[in-house]
Amino acid sequence: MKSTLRAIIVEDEELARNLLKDYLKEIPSVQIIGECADGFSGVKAINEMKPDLVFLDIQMPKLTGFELLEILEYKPKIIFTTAFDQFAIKAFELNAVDYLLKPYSRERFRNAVDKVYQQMKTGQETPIVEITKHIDRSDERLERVVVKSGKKISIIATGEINYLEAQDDYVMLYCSSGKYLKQKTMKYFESHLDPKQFIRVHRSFIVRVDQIHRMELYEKDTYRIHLKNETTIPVSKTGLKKLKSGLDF
Amino acid sequence: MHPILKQKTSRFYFIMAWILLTAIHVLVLNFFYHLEIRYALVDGITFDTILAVIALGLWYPVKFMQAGESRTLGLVLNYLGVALLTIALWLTAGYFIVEMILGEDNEYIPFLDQSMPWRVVSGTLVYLVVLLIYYLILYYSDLQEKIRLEANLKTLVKESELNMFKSQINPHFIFNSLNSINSLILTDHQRAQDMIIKLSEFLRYALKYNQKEKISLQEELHNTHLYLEIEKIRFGEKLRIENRIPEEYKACLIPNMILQPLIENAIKHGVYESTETVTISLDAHAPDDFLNITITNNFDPEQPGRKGNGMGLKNVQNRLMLIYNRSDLFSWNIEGTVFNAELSVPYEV
Repeated sequence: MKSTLRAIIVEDEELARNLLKDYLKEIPSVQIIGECADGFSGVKAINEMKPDLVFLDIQMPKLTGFELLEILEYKPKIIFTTAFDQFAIKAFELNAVDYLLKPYSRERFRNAVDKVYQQMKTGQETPIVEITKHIDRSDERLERVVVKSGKKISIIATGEINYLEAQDDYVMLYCSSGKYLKQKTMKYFESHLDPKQFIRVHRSFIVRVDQIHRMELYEKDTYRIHLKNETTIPVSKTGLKKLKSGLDF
Repeated sequence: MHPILKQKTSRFYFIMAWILLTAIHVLVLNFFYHLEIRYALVDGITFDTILAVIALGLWYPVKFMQAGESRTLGLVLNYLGVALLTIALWLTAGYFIVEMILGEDNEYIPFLDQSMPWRVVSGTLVYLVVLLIYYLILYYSDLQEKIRLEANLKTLVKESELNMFKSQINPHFIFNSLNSINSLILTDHQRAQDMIIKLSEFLRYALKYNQKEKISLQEELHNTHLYLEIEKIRFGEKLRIENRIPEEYKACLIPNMILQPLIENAIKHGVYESTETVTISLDAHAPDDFLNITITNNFDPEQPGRKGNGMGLKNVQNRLMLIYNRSDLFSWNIEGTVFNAELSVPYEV
């Protein structure tokens, strides 16, 4: 007898949810404890009900499936269900429990659920961090960042960020509306933000180009940037080179 | 910008050419005319330096005349005038400077007087050579510019063709629709069948798509509605459609599949990104000799970023440009939480 799996469906289309539920009828060991039609309610439900398994769509209102994964506190097993095949499927197949391309067959679906059981039996964990690392979509420019602080989820357009500062394992995003802490590396932001708009001027700082008010010599060979909001930011030697080539001076 | 002065290398070659010319000048005077070396040096350096400055300055009349005068006779006369002026200037200035440096009472001045006719001849030659060089430079940069423009144009055409092909149908739309059908088969045969028929009819239309062909607004609307009804099966109450296009315009001809990318845009940024009901409305009016069609949709304002790449809108613009050769037939704007796209095509039935 298989142990019972408590599952949540996060999917914005009713028909797609119906299909999942119908497929699950033949697998009584999987019990649906919740259904969500958008990313926000998905995060809330998963953190509160702590399911064993989540069927997750990628394209959804409010938050995408990827963004949802990034801010989860509780990490269940994930089976993606999506019509998008371009999101690094191969990397996925190695890391998420499974990746179902719509439309998918009953057999394919059963297979995915079996994989969950298999992983649980062997105790082999696929940490979510591992998965999201591969979904970094390095070919795609970051257009927004999702941050969770306490109960509040904020979606920040990259155009709102004035500058970023490294803080241990986190990065602090400074916006006109306030500051937000995000668990990512400076390297991640450096490679995903539009290099025409953002320049890493220092090991610990990335600034948005159009926020730079002026730059001045601080000590011999070291410069400092003054932002329009009067913040001062140090510039390293390599940072200066990047600024020079980026801003053409 | 001056073609010789703007680059380090051309400046270098110019100076080298000048040094060479001056050196030959001085040596000829010294060896063949047995002029004392100090006289030869003053003569060579003075006259050649003035000549160098004049040669640089000649660029401006060349540039000016290339832009203005086009008749051959006019050009020749103009250049003759410039030649007379510059050579006269050159010789007079040279003469006075040399005289100032060396004084009037010496064996050099009679030589200088005697050599004047030859200086006119050599000055004319240098003048012609300089003109020739400037014309070559102009011709070469023109050619480069043309090649660059042509290459740009080619990539632009290719890109827009490719993008149009891609924008015909969004593959995710097909796969998501198939998934919905898969679900309906289990619960509602009738609607499943309905959706398959609609999807097939829409796909058949989209595959026939031709960049320049025109069809009646009636037919385009029919196909747009097929698409919208399929999306309505997927999204249910979340999608509302209001068609306010008057009957009288339905016979007008418009490019085929021109509304499709706009509707798709409205769905993508409105319905896909929102949890509330999104209304897409279609309107038309025909002032003057144009048929204006507007498509509006509301969207969730709390969706920072993810604005897409605007490819769909750009394609509409490009196609109207391709067909009507005008770039002012398409516009869009955002007012609060409403997106508004408007296209106008010459009124034809």
